[in-house]
Formats: sequence, structure tokens, C-alpha cells
Amino acid sequence: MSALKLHKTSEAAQPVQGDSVSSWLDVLDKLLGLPPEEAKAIREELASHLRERVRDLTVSGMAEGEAVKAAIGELGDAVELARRFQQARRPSKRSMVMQVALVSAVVVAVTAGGLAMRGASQAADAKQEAAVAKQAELETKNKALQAFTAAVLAQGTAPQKADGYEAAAHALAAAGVQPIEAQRAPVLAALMAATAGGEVGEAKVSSKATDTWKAFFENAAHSAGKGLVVNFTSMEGLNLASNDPVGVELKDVRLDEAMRLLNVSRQSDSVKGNIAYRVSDSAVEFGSEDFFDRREVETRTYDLDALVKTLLAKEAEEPGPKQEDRHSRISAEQSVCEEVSHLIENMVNSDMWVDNGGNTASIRRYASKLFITAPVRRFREIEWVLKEAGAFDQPRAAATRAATPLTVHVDPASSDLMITDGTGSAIRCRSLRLDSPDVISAVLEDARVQTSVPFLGDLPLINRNFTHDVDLKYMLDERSSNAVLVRPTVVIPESEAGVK
Amino acid sequence: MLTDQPKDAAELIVLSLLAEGAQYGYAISKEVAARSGGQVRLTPGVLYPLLKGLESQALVLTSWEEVKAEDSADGEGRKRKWYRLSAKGKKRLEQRIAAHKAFRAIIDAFISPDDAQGREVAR
Repeated sequence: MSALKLHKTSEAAQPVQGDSVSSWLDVLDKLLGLPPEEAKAIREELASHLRERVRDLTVSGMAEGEAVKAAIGELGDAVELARRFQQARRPSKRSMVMQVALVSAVVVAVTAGGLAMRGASQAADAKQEAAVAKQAELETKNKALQAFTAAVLAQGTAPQKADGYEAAAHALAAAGVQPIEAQRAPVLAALMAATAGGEVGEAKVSSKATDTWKAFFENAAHSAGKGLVVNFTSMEGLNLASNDPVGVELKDVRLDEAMRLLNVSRQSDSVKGNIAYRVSDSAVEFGSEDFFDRREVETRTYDLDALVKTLLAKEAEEPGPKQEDRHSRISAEQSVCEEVSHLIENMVNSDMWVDNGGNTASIRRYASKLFITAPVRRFREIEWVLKEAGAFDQPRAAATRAATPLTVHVDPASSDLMITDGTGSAIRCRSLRLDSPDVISAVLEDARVQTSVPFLGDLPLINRNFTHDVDLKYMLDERSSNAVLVRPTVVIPESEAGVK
Repeated sequence: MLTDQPKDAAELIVLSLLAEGAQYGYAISKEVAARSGGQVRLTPGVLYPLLKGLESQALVLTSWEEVKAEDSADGEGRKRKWYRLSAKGKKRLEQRIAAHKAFRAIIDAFISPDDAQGREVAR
């Protein structure tokens, strides 16, 4: 992007007005990356400006070619201009805060310095100060989120693993930002707990550093007592060929840990991505992480309505006219959806998103809803971001609840699923909510089996009526021949009070 | 947080102009230059994003005008985007003016110490 220096067209040989103006606008269009309608409006407005400016300059005696150059030159660098437009689309609270802060500075000046200032009404002062405090708090939280995003980006890696979160949290703490950090810790623990363990967790593998990958994979499958499927083609991108040496000495290491060690040892500038594996009841399958990601995409939808309402409520509190009309609702939806999308696309494996030039995942929005298509395993991080964004305003107790294992069983009388927490109170639902694939490794062999489900917490952002048509085959443990095929169209009913 | 950033000044200027009546972008930039005797120049690179920002905050209302082509047609720039202040924009302008005056008063208190002392004594 930095290679684009487009503020001058001087290299072009005698540009014709229409041509150079419209090609400049074409470039700006691309840089803007806005919805077509908005981009078109900006384009027309700027074209109109340039046209009038060129006309005025030529009237004042400038040659047309020069006038075009000058007019475009006045617009400045296209990259910078695009950035300003993008920024302008997101309503910023900054200016408001500054202005309110200014008024309060005056109040301080009046009381401390004894300056007689007219027009500062005392009643208004108290209100303004409260507004200042509120805005300042919001700003702090905002900064924390930004700092966190920046910290993650600065690491160069999205938080794919728990240790990624930890590193980011560390950077965040170093930046002196606390509020969100404090809430994250329990969530982090829950995430780590949910990550641990796998269906071949107990299989131990050994290898000599000189073993080939082929031998290693065979060895691993053998010790897990399963067949083997290796997708070497997908691993070419990882610079891995079947006869290359593994390069790591392993002795009786659990498969998941072995894979972690191997991936760590292989990390270098030229190797992007990890080797991953999947286990079915008949085979262990190895391939690149990308390979599995592309195979396992699904679409989920999230309703950000709560955040939109919060934003609207905040705007209503602002000193100023109430704007509870349709327009403000739409613009609130737009800004909430956009900011949350950006956050997700920056924080969760940023390379995979279509918006960032990837080809695995995408986010579409409609009204206050986000439709997120991404590899299944990424939803844990995505939902974590969503949750943090939702907890943004009102700290919730969900984080601690997240770690509480819930018990699921089927009520034989009604064949409803019952979800029970430690206190014994239960709620009834028709099927099970999917927070992440790991959660549903539940084996519901018969109507009476009790299964412990680590529950990733209540995501207020999920649309309660959200239905979900993913094939459960992969997620259910296939070793149980009569795996329960609850079509996961669910979810915890609206009245969740029963769980508490 | 005592600042008077150029960006805020630009917003105040544009809001004030729009309070006098609807305008379109190029006219605003010319008007600003003319009234300030060329001292203030709102470059298009600043002006249009600023207008966009006002629009997205619903401080201004916009409409399009078809402009009859006076010169050779290239298919572009035949429409003009007009801006006028919304009720919310008027309110914002009032706040901005109050804040600006307050700011000026504070600075004045520093740059004319005699005057400030006089007031303190009087009080």
C-alpha cells in the first residue's frame, strides 16, 4: 500500500482532463473499499469539485493540463485521503469529549482562579462533569481495546493459542491498561481448559530426529491403533515432503504435545502455518492447518443488537437533541457492525479474512447481524472477541460462569435435553448449543448418559433464535455407534434464569 | 485537556457557514478562502472527509443537484452534493461556539495578565 504515491500525475505525459481525473478517482475508489453506493457518492462529489476547480484555474489563465495537475494535487495523497474518509465514516466520540472537557476546564478555572466568567451555568456544570467522567471512562476502555488489538498485531500473530492471548495480555499490562485484562483471565483459563485433551490424547509417539515424516505419521497412527490418511499435497506449502527428516527426537510423547513440539521446531520465516491432525474412529488424518480449515468452514450468525442499543442509549444521554429516528439506528448498526468486524478481522488469524486478502473466512452484515463464515475452530476466538466487545460496557459475571461445567442429559419422558449446573437447577431445551466443536464431543449413548460439557459461557451476542445446520458427525465422537443426531437447532431458551 | 486543534476549528468554520444556508463543497472552500482573506484554506483533502464525518454523525442533511453541463461532457461531476445543517448540527454548533468562547476566555486571561488580575481583585 505504501508503494502507492498518487498525489501527483506529473509522470503522465500530458494528461487529458477526463482521463487523469477519472483514473485518479478509480484509484481512490479502490483505496476506499466502501460499499458501491457510498463510493459512488464520494466519487461524484470529488469529480464535481475537480471540474469546478479546473474551470476556475483555467479561467484565471492556467493551461488545462496544469490546472488538472494542480487540482488533483490539492486533494493530496490518495492513500491519506482514503484513510480520512474511512475515519470520517465512523462517528468519533473524541471531539465531543474534548469539547466537554474544555467546558469543564473552564469550570475549574472559574473556581480555582476566581475568574469571573459569564454564561457558565452551575447546573449545567455538574451534568457536564458527569458526562466528562463517563466519556473518559469510555475512552479508557476504548484505548484498552485498541491497545490490545495493537499488541496482538505487534506480535505479528493472531492469538491462535492460549499463549498468544497471554503474550498479548502481557503487552496490554505493560501498556498500563487494566480494565479488560482483569476480566480476561478467567476466560483465558476456560479457553485453555477447553483446548486441552483430544481423542487420541493418550496415544504416545516416539521418533528419532532422522526419521522421515512418512515414518513418523505411520508410527503415530499405529500407536493410536488407527488407520492413516496423510495429505502431503496440502503440506507442500509448509515445505514438508514425505522423505524429509522430522528433525526432533521424541520419546513417548502424547500426540497433541508431539505435534505442538514439531510445529514449534519447524517455525521459521519460510514456513507459514502448522501441521494439523484429525481423528475419526477409523483413522488419524494429517494435513496442513489450512487444509482442514478450508474443509471445516461454517457460517454462524450473531446479533449485535445489544451493542447497538447500548450505543443508542449512550447517544441519548449525550447533551443534545434526541435522535431516536431510523437514521441514527441504521448508523449505529453500521458503526457497531463495522467496528466489531474490524476487531475480529484484526485479532483472529488476520490473514484468513477475505477483507484482508485471505480466502478462508468472511464477514457479511445485515442490519445488526453479522454472518461470519470461518473455520469451525476459529469460532472460539471469534466468540471470545465478540464477548469482550459485549462486556465492553457492563462488566458481566459470565466469565466465572464459563468455567463451570454443565451437565447434559436427555429426559427420557420427553426426550428433551436437560442442562444442569452444579447447583442442580436445570433448564430444558430441545437440543444442544454449539459453542465450539470440542464442546460437543459429548457422547450421548442412551437417554440416560450424563456428559460433562465445558461451557464457554453465555454469549449475549448470539441471536437466541439462531439455528444452526452443521453436520454433527465430525463433532460427535464416532466411536459410539448410536451417536445422538440431535439436529443442533437450538439453543438455550431466552429464560436462562434457571441455570443460575 | 486544553486544546484547540485545527480540525476542530475547521469543523466550527464549516458548521458556521452552513448555519447561514445550504452550501456545496467547492462553494464552501471558496467562501472560506474569501472571508478569511485567503488566510484560511480548507483544502479538499480536509474538507470532504470533514463533511463526510458531519454526515455520518447526522449533523448535516444532504441532497443532490443535477448540474447542467457547461463544458465538454465526460460523464462525471454533473451532480452537486448540497449540505445543510440538521437540528442536531445546530445544537452541535452552539456547543462548539460556547466551547470556543470559553477557550478564548481562558487564553485571554493568560495573555492579558493585567486584565485578569484586575478581575481577581474586584472579586
